[in-house]
Amino acid sequence: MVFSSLPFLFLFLTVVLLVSHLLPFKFRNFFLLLANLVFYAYGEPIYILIMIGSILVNFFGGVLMARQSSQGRRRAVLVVGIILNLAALGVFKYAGLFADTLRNIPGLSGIPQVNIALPIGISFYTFQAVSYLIDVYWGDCEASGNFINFACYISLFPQLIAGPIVRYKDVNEQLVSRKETPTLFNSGVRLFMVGMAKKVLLANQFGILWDTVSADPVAAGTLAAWCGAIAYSLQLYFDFSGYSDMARGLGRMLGFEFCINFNYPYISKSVTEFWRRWHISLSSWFRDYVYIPLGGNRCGKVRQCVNIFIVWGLTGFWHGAGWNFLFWGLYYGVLLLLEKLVLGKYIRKLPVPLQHLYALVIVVIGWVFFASPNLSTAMGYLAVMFTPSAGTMGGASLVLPWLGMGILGAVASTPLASKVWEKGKDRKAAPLIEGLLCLAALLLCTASLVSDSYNPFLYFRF
Amino acid sequence: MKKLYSVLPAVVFVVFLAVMTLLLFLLPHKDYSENEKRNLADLPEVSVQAIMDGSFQEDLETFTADQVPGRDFFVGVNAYWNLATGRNAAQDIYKCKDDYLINAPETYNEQVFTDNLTHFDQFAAAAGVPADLIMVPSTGYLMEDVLPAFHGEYHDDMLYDKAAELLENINLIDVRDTLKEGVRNGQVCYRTDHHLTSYGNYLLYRAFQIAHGKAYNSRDAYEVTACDGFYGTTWSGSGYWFTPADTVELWDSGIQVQVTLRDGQERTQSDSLFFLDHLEDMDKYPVFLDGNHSVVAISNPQAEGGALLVVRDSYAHCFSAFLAEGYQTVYLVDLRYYRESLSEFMQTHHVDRMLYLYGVDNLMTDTNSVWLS
Repeated sequence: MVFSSLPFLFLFLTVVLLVSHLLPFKFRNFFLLLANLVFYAYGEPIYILIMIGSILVNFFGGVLMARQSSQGRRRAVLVVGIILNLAALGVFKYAGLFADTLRNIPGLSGIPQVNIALPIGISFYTFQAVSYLIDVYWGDCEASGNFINFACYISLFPQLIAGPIVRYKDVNEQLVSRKETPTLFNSGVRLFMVGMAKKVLLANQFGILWDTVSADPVAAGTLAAWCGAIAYSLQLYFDFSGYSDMARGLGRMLGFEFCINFNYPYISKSVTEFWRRWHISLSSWFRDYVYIPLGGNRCGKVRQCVNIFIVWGLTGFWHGAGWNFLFWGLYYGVLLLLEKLVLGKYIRKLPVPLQHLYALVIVVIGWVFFASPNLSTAMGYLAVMFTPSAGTMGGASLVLPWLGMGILGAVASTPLASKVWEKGKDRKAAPLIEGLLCLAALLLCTASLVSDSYNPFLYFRF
Repeated sequence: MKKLYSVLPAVVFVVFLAVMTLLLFLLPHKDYSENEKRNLADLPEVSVQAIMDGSFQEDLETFTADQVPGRDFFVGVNAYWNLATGRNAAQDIYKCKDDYLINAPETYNEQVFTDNLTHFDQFAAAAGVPADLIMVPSTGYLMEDVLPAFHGEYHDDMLYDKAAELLENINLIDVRDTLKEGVRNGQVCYRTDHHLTSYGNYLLYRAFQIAHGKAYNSRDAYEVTACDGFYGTTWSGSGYWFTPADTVELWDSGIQVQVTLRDGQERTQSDSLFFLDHLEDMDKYPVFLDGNHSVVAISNPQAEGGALLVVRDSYAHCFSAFLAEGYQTVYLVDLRYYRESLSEFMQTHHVDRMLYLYGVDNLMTDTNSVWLS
């Protein structure tokens, strides 16, 4: 089930909000766990067993680790736990890619085809589970002794399928007791509606332009290819950050506070800054659980370079089982290293608008690798972007209807609206304006979702 | 009260969700959408099997989408929102000047077009009777002046050139200039539908008569009845509910006809070309020949000409009223439904002339010409 769907809004959410606020607190986590399972089973009626398996392994892993007195045994439990988690990820996410790749090697063509569909959200909940085991190992938090609470944490529906990657140590107290107030609920609604509007009114719409252009970039021409790549950049940002906003908003409606995941990444002035603002819960996960344990920058320049490449290769690969994702990750590894070692000091001397332009161009090009099904498609698309051609689809008339949306999207990816709100939020009329905006967003999002299903029967078009 | 006001967004949100959920289950569910001309889904039955294979979830999505309270209202909101954010030219249906709703250009598909015309041409050669082709241009092509900025490119001229190149056994009657000129003198295209108006069809008929060197009726030879309140299929698909209604005109030359509608074994007789019951509907275009049928026979014993076969799509519904003036029998065959041998049909019914009549866009999408045999 996705948040931006009619059954979620008008069936699931209504029931969950109503029941969870009527129940006495001691039953709430149990009810929430049931809701999480229904939510997940709706999309993955079979793979829910994998998630339940993950919950069991990690819960008992934590319990087992807590019972060991020697560091060596604790470490052994940790290693086994991590291996089990990564094995699940490896089988369900990467086995197909590796089998396909190995088959190209002479003599290995007999390797069978692996057709395993990716279980929704496995990358997110597996990373949450691994962070839990490591934190318990490090002593940053105690192992959970309450199965319901732990299962509720792993499967918590707001962040289950697209993050943010929440750490157990950040929410374990909220699982035991959390205070739900009208003000917190209200701020949750605000976040949720902002996220929903980003997803439905912006991301889905920019997706239409990207789909049109990427279907045949050569015919679209250079102008449309750039606009298409920018449209995808906006689509991805509004889609992903919108989802995180909705997740955080839902969390607050239920009394949870999750970490912020996006901080206006497109206002960055360098690639380094971009990655401090984009998908923060993932970058910090890799920083805390991979980069720093590998030695980070404490073991000399060479080791640091190696560490950066390991982290960015993994980051790329985490995003998808395809070599283009690995390439995309390493692309950022190289750029970040260049900024750190050479370019950084020059970039900081550039006029500010040029710094923004530099960061945005790098990011937009990066998304082409990310969005393309494989490396050669990406290269073909980039070739159109960098060799001027008019195309045959009437490039300008293809993109000009999107000008208004483009401006709206550009403004919406800056903190402007948030600043205006900060200034005016204490005025008397603020709740009224917010209420009206909330209503408008609800109406427009519902309208867009309903219209997706509005299909006049083409039969009668003749 | 003051406390509620301070959390107004939450109040709006909760009330909206609660009201929508309640109405979704309490309002009677609709079976049919007149705008979309399709049946709407009802609440699916729960079964373990259906949940495991995902069909229950799919059906539930369809159910909520089909039965969501205020469905048409929301479709309208979305259409006008897209318009307000400058995306008119990015939609499938353009909102144009003078309240015209016009389909965006059909995706150019030369292969389907070529296949269709080749099938037509081969069949005409085999049939051994004189054959014409009328391709009705798209409304967007004819009404270029009312289109929005940045609209897509219509391919009608390219397709006419291609047709001229392909056809060896069929005479292509070029109606482009006649209709473009007609646009300056009257309403040739409906504002809310993709078909031509009766006036537009009269112009087609005039071009057809001229192509055969025959006399034609002047405009005032017809008794015209105008019927308001017509909302065609372009309107239904657009969501621009505030567009004013169109007018359907019935042009009656006073000929006495017998009309037989055939679908498989089923036959319906009528002594009029106009099926007035459909004037009660929003979409009144089926007033002409009752909409789509596999075979329609129109007999007019007083006419001079013999038997004419029209292989056609719905653009012929209205046009046939004019054709009937000149032929003792006009047979209209719709290849989307007709699956028997057309050459046998022609022999049985002593057809001595044929006409292919299609909207030019349909020739890039409809692949039923393979059934010509």
